[in-house]
Amino acid sequence: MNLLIVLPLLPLAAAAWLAISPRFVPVAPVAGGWVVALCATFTIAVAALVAPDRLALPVVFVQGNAALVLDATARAALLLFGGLWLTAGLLLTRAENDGPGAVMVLLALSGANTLALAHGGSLVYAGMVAAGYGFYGVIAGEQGDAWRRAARAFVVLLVISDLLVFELILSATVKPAVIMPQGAGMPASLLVIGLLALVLRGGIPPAHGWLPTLLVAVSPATAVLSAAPVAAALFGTMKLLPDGAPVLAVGCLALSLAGAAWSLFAGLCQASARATLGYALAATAALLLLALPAGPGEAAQLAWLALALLAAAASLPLVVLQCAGWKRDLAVAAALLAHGLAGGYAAAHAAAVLPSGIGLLGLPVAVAATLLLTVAARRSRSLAPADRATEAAYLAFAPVIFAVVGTGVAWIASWPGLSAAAAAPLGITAGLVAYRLLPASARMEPGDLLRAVERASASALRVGRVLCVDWLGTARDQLEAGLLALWDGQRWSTRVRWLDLRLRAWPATCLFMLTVALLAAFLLLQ
Amino acid sequence: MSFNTWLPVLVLCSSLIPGLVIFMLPERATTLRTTLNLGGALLKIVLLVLMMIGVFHGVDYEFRVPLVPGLDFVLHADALSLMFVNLSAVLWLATTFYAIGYLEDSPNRSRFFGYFSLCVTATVGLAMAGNLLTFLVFYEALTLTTYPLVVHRGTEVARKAGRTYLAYTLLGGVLLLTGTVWLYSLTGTLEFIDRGFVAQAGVDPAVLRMVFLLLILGVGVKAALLPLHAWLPQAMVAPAPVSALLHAVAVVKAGAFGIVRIVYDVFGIEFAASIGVTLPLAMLAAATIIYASLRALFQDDLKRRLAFSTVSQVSYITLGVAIAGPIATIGGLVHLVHQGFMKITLFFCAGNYAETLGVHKVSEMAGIGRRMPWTTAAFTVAALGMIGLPPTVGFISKWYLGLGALEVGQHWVVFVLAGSSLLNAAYFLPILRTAWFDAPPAEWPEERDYGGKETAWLLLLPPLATAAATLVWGLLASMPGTPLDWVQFIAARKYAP
Repeated sequence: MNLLIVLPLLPLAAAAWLAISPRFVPVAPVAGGWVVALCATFTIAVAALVAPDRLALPVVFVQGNAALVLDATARAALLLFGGLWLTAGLLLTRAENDGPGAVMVLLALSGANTLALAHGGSLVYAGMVAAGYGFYGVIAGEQGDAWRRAARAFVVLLVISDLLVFELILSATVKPAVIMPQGAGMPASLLVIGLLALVLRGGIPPAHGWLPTLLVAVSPATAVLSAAPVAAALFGTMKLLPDGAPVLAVGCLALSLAGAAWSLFAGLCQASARATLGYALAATAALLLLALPAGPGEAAQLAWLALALLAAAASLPLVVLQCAGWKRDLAVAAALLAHGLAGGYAAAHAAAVLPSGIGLLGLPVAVAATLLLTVAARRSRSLAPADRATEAAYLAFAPVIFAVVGTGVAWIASWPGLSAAAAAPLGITAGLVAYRLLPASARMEPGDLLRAVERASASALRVGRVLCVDWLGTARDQLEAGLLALWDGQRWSTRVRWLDLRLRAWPATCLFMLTVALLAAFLLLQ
Repeated sequence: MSFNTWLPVLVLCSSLIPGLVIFMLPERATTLRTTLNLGGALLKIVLLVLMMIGVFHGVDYEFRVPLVPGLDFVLHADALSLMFVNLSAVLWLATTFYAIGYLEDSPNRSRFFGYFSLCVTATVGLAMAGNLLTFLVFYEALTLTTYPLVVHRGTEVARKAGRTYLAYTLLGGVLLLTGTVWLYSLTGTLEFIDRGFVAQAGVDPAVLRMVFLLLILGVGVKAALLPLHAWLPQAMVAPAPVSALLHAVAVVKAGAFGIVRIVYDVFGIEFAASIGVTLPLAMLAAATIIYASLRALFQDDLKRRLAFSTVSQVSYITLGVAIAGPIATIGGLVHLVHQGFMKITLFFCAGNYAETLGVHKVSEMAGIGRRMPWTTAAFTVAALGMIGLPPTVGFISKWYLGLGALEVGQHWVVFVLAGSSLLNAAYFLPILRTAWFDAPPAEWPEERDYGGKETAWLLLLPPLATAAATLVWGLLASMPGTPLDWVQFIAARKYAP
C-alpha cells in the first residue's frame, strides 16, 4: 500500500479506535496522547524518509483530477504538522493535562495531512475544510468556557473563507484555461478571492482577533496547535495559487505593513505573554501574506520558511513549562534566531516581485514579527517547579528543532544574501529594548477589533431577525391566518347567521322584497 | 399486453395492495403487518431494479388506459421517473424499519401503516405519471393519503396543523387543475414528452406565462416555495417517520418533481427560457433559499429548524432546474436524491432524540453526543452535508449547481449558494458544538431505558444507513450506479440535440 494514502487514514482510524474502544476496553486518558504522538511521528517519518512520490486518486473518489503528492512543499507542511501534533500529543500525556480530547486532535491531524499532500482543487478544498473544522473541534474540546468567544469568531471566519475557496475552485473549473501553470495566470479577481480567503482563515490582520483571545484561553496543547490553522491557510493557498500572485504584490505589502504595525502596537499593549504571542503569530501570518505573491520559489523556499516561522512561534507556549536555566534560554534563543532569519528571508523573497523602490519595505514586517516574539518570550515567566525541569525542557525543543530545520533548508537551498540576516538581530534587539522600556500592563483587551466585529455581527443578526421573523414572518402569518379563516366552517356558520339576522330585520327584508319584485317585473316584461 | 406493460402497475401495486390489506388487520397482528410492509418495500425495489436495467438499455415501460376521449391514464417509466421512484422505494424501506421501532407501543398502527403505504403508492404513481392528468390524480391522492398521517396523533395541535396542510395543498390542487384544464384547451394534449409539448402549439406567450404561473403555484405549494411554505413547519406535529417521509420523499419532493416535469416535459426548458419564465422562477427559488435559512436560524424547536431547512434546501432543486443548463440540471436533480437522504437522516435522528431522551429543542441538546454518539454521528454527517462540505453528497450538489450557474453566466446564483451555506453553517454548527462538546445535564427530560444501549436497533440502523449513503455517494460520486451517474444519464437525454 502506498504510504501517502496511509497518512490521512491512519489518524482517522486511530480516532475511530479511540472513540469506540472505551465501550469494549477501558482506555486511560493519557493513552490518547500517546496515540496522537505516534501518528504524528509517522507523519514526520514519511516526510523525512520517503522519496518524492505521487498517488493519483481514481476519478470515482473526486471531482476532477486529484492526487496525493509528496514534493518539497508537502514535505515542509508534513514536518510542520507532524512537529506540532507530536508536541501536542506529548503534552496530552502529561498527568496535569487539561487539554482537548485526543479524538478531535487526531481528526484535525488527518485533515492537515490531507491538505499537505493534496493536489487538485477539490481535494485541496477538502483538506482545508477538514483541517479547519478539525481545529475548531480541538478548540471546542477545551474545558471551561473561556475559549468560546475565540472559537465563535474563528468558525465564522472559517465558513466565509471556505465559501471563497469554493468560489475560487468553481471559477477555476469553469475556465480551466486560466489556471494552467504555463498560461497567462489567474485573473486578478480570482487572485483577490484566494488571498482574501487566506486572510480570513489565516489569522492575518484585520481578521486576527481570535488568535490572541484564543491563546489566552486555552491549554498548552491547543496553544501549540494554534499555529496550525495559519499553516493550513498558507499551504492551501499555495496549492490553489501555484504561481503566487505577482500582480497583487503591492496590495499584499500594504496589507502586511498595516497588519504588522497594528499587531506591534496592540501586542506591546498586552499584559499577558500569551496575548502578545497571539499578536506575534498574527504579525508572522502578515509576513507570510507578504511573501506569498512571489510564489513558492525554486526550491519551495516559502514552504520551508513557513515551517520555520510557525514552528518557532508555536514553541513559545511551552517556555512557561520550563524552569529557568540554560535549557530554557537555549530554546528561546534558537526559536528567536530561527524566526528572525526565516523572517528576513521571507521579506527578501517577497522583494523579488515588488517594484525596486519599495522592495525593502518588507523588512519592517519581519522585524515587527520577531520583535513581538521576543517580547512574548521575555514576558513568559517560568511556571514550572525545579523538579519538573527535564521533561518539559525536552518537550519545548521539538518545535524549535523543526524551526531550525526549516530555516536551515531554506537558507542552504537558495542563499538569499546577507541583507536577509538583518531582521534577526534587529528584531531581537528591538524586542529586548521594548521589553525593558514598555513593561506589561493591561492597556488593551486581547482581540481588539474582535469586539467591534462581534457587535456589528450581532446588529446584523438582529436586523435579520427583525426583518424575517418580526416583519415578513408576522405579516405572512397574519395573512395566512386571515386566509385560513375563510376555510373555517365554524366562522362561516357565524357569518351566515349574522347575515341571516340582518336580512330578517325589516328594512333589509323590505329592500330584499323590493329587489325581488323589481326583478320579477323585469323578467315578466322580457 | 406484455410483462413490460404491466411492470409499472406491479410497482404501484407492491405498496397499494399491502396498504389496503393492512387497513383490515387487527392491531395485534404485528408480525403480519411488518411482513406485508417490508415484503412490499422489497418487492418494489426488485421490480425497480429490473426497470432501471431496462430503461438503461432503451426498453419502454408504459401502461395506458383511456379515461375520456383524447385523455388517457398513463404510467410511464423513464429515467427521470425511475430516479424519483427509486428514491421513494429505498427511503420507504428505511422509514418502514424506523416506523416499526418508533411506533412499537403506539395505538392505531394499522391505520398508520395503511396510509403510509398508500402515501408511497401515490408518490410512485405521481413519479410514473405519463401525462399531466395522471400526475394531477396522484397529486391529489397524495394530499388525501398524507392528511391522516399528519393528524395521526389526534391532538388539537395536530388537527389544526392538518387543517392548514389541507387548506394549502387543496388550494395548490385547484390551481394545478385550473392550469391543466386551461393548457389542455390550448394545446389539446397533456402528454409528457422530452423537450415539452407546448412549444409546438403556437399559443400566445402571454397566455402561456399565465398557465405556467398557475401550474408552478399549484406544485409550488407542495414544494414549499415562498410564500406558500407555511404548512410545512406546522406539519411537524406529525410523528417523526411521517416528518421524515414528508420532507425527504413524499410531499415536498412531489412538488419539486412537479416543477421539474412542468419545466422539462410540459414547456421544455429552452421554450420556457425563451418566454422568460425561468429567471423569475430561479429568483423565487433564491428568495426561498435565503428567507427559509434565516427563519431556520431563529428556531429552537429542532424539527421546526429542520423544516425551515427543508424549505430552503428543496428550492435548490427548483433553482437548478430554472437556471436552464445541463450542469445546473444535474445539480438540481441530483439534489432531489441527495437532499432526501440527508434530510431523512436528520429527521430520524431528531426522532431518536425525542423518543429516547425526550429532547425536542436545540437548547436541550447539550452533551447529547456523549449519551447518543452513533445517532449524533449520523446527525453530524447529514448536517455537514447540508452545509455542503466535502466529502458529503451536499458538496456534489452544490458543486454542480455552482458550476452550472457559472456556465450559463448566472453569477448571482453562486452568491445565493454561498449565503445559503453560510446560514446553514450558522444554524447547524451550533447544534453540533453543543451536542458534542457541552456538558450533558444531570438528567434528560424523558429518558427511556433500552437496556444500556443507546436506543433501539430499529431506530438506530436507518439513520446510520442513510448517513453512510450520504458519505459514500459523496466520496464515490463519479462511480457508476450512483445518483450522480443516473442524473447525468437523464441530463444527457433532456439536453440531447
